[in-house]
Amino acid sequence: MRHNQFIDLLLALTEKEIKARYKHAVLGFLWIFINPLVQMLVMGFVFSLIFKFGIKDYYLFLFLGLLPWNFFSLAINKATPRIVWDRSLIQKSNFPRAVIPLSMVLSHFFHFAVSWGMLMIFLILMGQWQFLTLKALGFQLLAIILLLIFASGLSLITSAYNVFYRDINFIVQAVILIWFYATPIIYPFSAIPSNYQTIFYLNPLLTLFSLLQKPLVEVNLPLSLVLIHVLIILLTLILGWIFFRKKAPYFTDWL
Amino acid sequence: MKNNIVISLKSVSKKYILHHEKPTLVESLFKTKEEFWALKNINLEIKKGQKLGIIGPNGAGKSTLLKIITGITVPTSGSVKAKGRIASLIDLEAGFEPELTGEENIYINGLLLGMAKKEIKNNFNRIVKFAEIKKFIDSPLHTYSSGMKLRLGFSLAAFSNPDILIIDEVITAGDESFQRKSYEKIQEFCHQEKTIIFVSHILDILKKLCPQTLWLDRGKIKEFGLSKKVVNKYLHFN
Repeated sequence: MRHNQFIDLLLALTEKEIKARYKHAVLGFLWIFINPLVQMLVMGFVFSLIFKFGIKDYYLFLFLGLLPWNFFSLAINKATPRIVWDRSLIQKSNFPRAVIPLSMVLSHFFHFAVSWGMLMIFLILMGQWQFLTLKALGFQLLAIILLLIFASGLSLITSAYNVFYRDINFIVQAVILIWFYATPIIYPFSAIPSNYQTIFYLNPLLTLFSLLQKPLVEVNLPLSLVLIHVLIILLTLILGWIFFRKKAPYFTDWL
Repeated sequence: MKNNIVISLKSVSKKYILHHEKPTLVESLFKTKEEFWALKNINLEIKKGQKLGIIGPNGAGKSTLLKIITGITVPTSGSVKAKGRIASLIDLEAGFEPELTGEENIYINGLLLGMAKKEIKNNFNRIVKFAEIKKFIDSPLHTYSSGMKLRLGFSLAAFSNPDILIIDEVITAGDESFQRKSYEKIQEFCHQEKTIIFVSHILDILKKLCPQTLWLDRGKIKEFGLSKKVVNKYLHFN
């Protein structure tokens, strides 16, 4: 019963979030496709003129990194203040609170999935078959699932904490901004001077983005590091879930 | 918990920390906290099918008690047990999303109240009919009048098939004909095996609906017993 309500509510709120965004737009759901298209055009034209980093097809490199990054940053940024905004839902009944941040993550994941699908079509049209091998697709899928897990785990922690300390929202925004430049998204890992590279090893996103960019740039990370990153990501979700469950009963007292 | 007892509170106390403004990280580290006990050592058992009235002046802890029973908040100390689905008619508009249509709101709020998808589907027409919003079901909720929203909120809670129903002053919601309708609905619940907690300042209705009444005062139970007696004492006390 409880389990059912959790899933049903999660999906209903996710759907609500997706629908609400385009509700009064004349073009309606077309925006789901137009948005990422414009994004990619801007990335492709503007960024490619400024940076190159000696990568052939640099615009493709950008798409591969920026689309998932946009999902990751938007999901966490939007999920963090959400419980405070949705206080009227929380006052209504004793439903599982985790559906609030998780539905935000899922709705952004939906938009990301659409844009990723469009990117795949684009790659087919361009004849970029190296992205569409079984191995490349497998790495993409793995990276995307881990990214979803990571965003969910972090959102559970930040959204719960933000109920008690509203500063968290601002801290998250700042951290996300720094994190963007600290992750090889618009530049390849090889652009980092080798004596600094170890510091970048602390970032679990390094593994995920190098999995995504593999067909274009080869990053040779030690296998043990990759495993540690995956472990950190999985632990974030588990600990985030436990932490959220512990804090959730006290939300109403602070809203 | 004995079989026929659906709500049981054992030495429940609730402390609130007063926030005069939104807490910030720096403030919470340096400022001393102001505490306030909304409930102190409440013991209460409610049987299945019992109709209990709750009275008390503003600030007596009535809302806090209801929030604890519904599980919206947790007690600082003591234990709470509640069996079955609880619907509260307290904040009828809570949970409504202004951008979404009436239909979408029914769906989401039904889930919030613990209804299954299928249950919502099966009851959809009845909810809409009772709320008298059939014509506007596809319009976004921000176009609804406050009366329409209240009717929808009441209708949803009423058709969520609760085991325990918590009622505030809702009988005064809406126009006269809807007041009559909602009162009839509540009476219908009273005849069924539903457990009802009724919080009201309208003592006549309270006496009519609930054989027993609990009088809360400054977070403590002042009196508990037959409604007639408790209400009389309450009236003389004020």
